[in-house]
Amino acid sequence: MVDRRRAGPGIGNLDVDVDDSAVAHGSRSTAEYRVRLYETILQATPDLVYIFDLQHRFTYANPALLAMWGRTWDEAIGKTCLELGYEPWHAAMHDREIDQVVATREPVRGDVPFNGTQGRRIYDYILVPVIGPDGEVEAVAGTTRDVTERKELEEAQRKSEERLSAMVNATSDLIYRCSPDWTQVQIVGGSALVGNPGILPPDWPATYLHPEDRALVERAIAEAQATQDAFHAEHRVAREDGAWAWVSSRAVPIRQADGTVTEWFGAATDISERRRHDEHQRLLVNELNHRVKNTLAIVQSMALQTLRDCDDAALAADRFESRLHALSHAHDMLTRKRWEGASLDDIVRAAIAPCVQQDTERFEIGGERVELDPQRALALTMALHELCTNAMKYGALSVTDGRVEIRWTCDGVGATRRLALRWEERGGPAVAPPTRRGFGSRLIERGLRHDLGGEVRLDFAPAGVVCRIDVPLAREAGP
Amino acid sequence: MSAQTATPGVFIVEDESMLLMLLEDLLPEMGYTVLASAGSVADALAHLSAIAPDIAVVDVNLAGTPSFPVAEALRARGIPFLFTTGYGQEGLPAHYADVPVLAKPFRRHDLDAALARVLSRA
Repeated sequence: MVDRRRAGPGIGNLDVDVDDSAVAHGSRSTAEYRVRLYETILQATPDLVYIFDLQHRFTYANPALLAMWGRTWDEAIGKTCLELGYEPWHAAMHDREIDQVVATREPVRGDVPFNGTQGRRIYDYILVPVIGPDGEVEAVAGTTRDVTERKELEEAQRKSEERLSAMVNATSDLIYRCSPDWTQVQIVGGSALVGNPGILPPDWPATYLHPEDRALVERAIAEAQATQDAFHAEHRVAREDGAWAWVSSRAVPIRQADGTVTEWFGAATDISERRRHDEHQRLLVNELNHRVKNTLAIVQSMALQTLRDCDDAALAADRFESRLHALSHAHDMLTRKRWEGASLDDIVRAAIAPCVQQDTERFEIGGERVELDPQRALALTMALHELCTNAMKYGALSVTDGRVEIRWTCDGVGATRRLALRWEERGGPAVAPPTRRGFGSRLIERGLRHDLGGEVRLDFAPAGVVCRIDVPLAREAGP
Repeated sequence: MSAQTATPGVFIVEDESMLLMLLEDLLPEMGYTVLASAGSVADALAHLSAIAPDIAVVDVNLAGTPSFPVAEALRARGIPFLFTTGYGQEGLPAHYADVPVLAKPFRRHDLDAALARVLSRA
């Protein structure tokens, strides 16, 4: 580093014309005084000050410039930029500029990076012509200021703005800003949910907010303004295509140095899909609750009617358990088919499963493929389960040789399509009609007739129980 | 009182046979006569043209279809009724706010009390 105070002879070396006729008698002292003043300024300024002669050689360099170069006066004065070690392109640039100043008598301004003793800095410089007494350009003077901090700040700001702009372009959110009182809203970018970027009309709440949500949004704005804290609201906005979209909107206040809010900056996320999902979920839970309540009512009915039917508490418990088990099986079967229905084959096999165990040969099952809706499937499963239970206790399945045939056919097409199913027991003990029809029989005859909307006949024929079910297959049209 | 019976005549609209059978068991014990039952809207409307019940017990949901047309027909004929449902009160349109709702599964005395309340208001 070079001490500025010992940098060299200074500007007094120059042939400065300080002649002033008004102070002719004291011209020498006046000139010296001026030189002292200029010298002091030039020594003290952090800016770089210098003069080129017409051969582009430095004839003056102030201490700040010498320090930046890391050279003494004697090392530097009389040399060109190139001779002082400037990069050739840099030296050539200044050569052109000096020539331009001389030729045009106009200043030239520019900025350039330079590696000096303080490292790589950015310099803003201005070159001006020095006009001699004859009116000709006799030298070119220059001042240079280190603007690295300012340039860095500008660059940082530019990058920050670029990042903000990139974020606005990249996000799927709608980015907006509002005046402090929220009367003016500008869509900055992001999602084109409500249209292209721009200022919204002054009546934006009426145009863009769903009527049912307007009060809610206005309350949220008032609260945000009162607390000077983040605004948040979930509401509907009018999309460009006219449909309503649900958004989750958040905005934060932007404050100036004294804390006054100058604007609000916010983002609105389209949550329509989530709202739809939530609504679907709510419906599902509601539907599940309905099914559970309905099933509990069925279980209640089964329990009450089983108890009424049977004086023996242990037997009643057995029967109730068995029915509950059948109901549970039917639910499993329907759940596997997502409660969309079940094939008759599945229904029959689910119903007889508890009776079959390892002994599948005692059943002959067959019929064409036919699908039943969940409610009919459930009813038929429960009825077939009652037939099975009865057959195991009193009928064909109570003896080793007894068999059960379950066969069905479908007739007709479309609205007139009917299902005829026949349960027939053979090889069992001689059947005597029951003295009284219990819950099981009622469930088969009354229940099935109601649920399937057809005819059900249960015959206690001596050779074996026969149950004929004849039902329409087409679902009844809605009201 | 209906003309044909000494006890109040009930019309049951319920798609689930197990629940229908339960009502068919319970109602006579409570002093009601079951005049008819139906498991669908069309079935119910057809029955209504042929019978004159004193009161009706109507399941809100008939195999996925709301039974409101039946409720409207009952109102038109001035027949008091109550709803049974697994959904609870919130599933009902506002103009049925005055109709008693029996949540499934219901207890015997809930059914008895609801029927008595409906009949006393009629």
